[in-house]
Amino acid sequence: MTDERSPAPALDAPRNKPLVPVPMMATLLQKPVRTLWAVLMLALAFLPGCQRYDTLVEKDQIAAEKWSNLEAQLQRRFDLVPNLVATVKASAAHEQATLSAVTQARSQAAQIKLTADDLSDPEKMAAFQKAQQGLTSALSRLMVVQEAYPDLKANQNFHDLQVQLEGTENRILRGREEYNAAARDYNAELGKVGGQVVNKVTGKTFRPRVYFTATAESQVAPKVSF
Amino acid sequence: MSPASLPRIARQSARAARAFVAAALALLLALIALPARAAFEVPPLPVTGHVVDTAGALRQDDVLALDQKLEALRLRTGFEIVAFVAGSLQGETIDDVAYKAFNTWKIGQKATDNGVLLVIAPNERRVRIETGKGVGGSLTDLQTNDIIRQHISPLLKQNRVAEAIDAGTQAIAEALVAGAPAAGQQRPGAPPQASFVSKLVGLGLLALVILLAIVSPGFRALLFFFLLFGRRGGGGGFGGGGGGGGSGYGGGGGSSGGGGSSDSYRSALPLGSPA
Repeated sequence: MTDERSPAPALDAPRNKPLVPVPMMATLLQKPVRTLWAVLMLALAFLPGCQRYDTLVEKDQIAAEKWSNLEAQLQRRFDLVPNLVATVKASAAHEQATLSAVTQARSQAAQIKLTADDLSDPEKMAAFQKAQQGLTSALSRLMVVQEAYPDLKANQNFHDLQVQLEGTENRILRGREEYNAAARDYNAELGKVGGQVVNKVTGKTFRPRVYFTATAESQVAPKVSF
Repeated sequence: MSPASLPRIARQSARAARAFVAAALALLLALIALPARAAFEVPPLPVTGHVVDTAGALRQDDVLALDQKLEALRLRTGFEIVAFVAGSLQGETIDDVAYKAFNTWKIGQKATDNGVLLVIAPNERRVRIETGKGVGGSLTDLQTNDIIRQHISPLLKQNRVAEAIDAGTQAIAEALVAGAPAAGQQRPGAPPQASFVSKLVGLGLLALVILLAIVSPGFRALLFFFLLFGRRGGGGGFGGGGGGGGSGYGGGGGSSGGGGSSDSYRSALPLGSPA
């Protein structure tokens, strides 16, 4: 008897206590678990958006870095001008008109300072470019004029300034190219559907950057043959 | 209209549509190809990566000697100097060509951006030294101009291109080494001294790899493929195989922001005459 009775509970056990303790669906539909699911789904939906946001921030920062590089070169040119004017004045005093044009263009360029927000403002960017190009063309005229003064050309100090100016003009040119490339990259990211959605959701924090437009004048940086 | 003519019309219009698409494609291709032909194209770096001569102005042994010298300099100091004798600038300025070539070849190490490119255009009689962003302080535009005027142009005027490159790169290297911060102590190219701990870790990793290779056939196969293909493309690449003897320098991760200076030189001799 005892031998037959002992296995009975073992056979009954599955009937009373199922192998899966509570049905899976019931567990998943319980209140706290459901909210967890909802949060997870929302997070999954937002993840690409977050990545897109990060990409935008990154590309914006790259463009900002390129801009500050360019600004440093513009400042370098700005700082070179007084020395250059003084040196030319010493040897070519009756080029007053050209010299004062350079000084004037410099002070005009100094008046326009752009903040980070202004880089998306076409009008302010246009004014900034116009002022900088004014300085470029005034300087290039000065560099043409100096050809007529042999003692100026022989002046070591003038030669040094000239080389530095040429180097700076070239760096400015590259800086503009690199800024434009970075701005294009950023603007493209912003213009894509994902970028636009992120921009709407985050309240239009990103705005497209304005490009530098090359004019025929600015293509010809002051180049002088020795 | 007979019903039999309908398929014929359809066939004809399909043929016409196909011809139109083909013509449009051809036009598109022509539009894409045209501007590409006009611009200066940067050639790939040859095995003698430090010296690129598309003008045919250098003898082969000169190329090899200069390449070896510049490779030795790179290994000793870390500074990467490339000399480029351009056959034709294709109507572009030497500044543009130098900038393009510099950033295509990515001369210099990525972290320090310490590359310098010397470009000589014998046809246009222009010469330029383009500096990487990291050497602008130790090799200023003014210094590059002095080097051109004192060391390079006098030799170029006599069409002694190889000697001009030799003297120019020598002067560039001297300026770079003199201007480097704490020269000799922390060479930019030298690997940092491995500490005892990192050596221990390296040994441990090696032991692990060997152990895995012994134990797992799958890992063995993976290791085999890694050793076969994995090392290609990193850094120098393979030096010329059959007696080429080039350094195989393949550029690095450097970039230029347009630093350096250009100059023109007048030649006293007609082009192509012996030195």
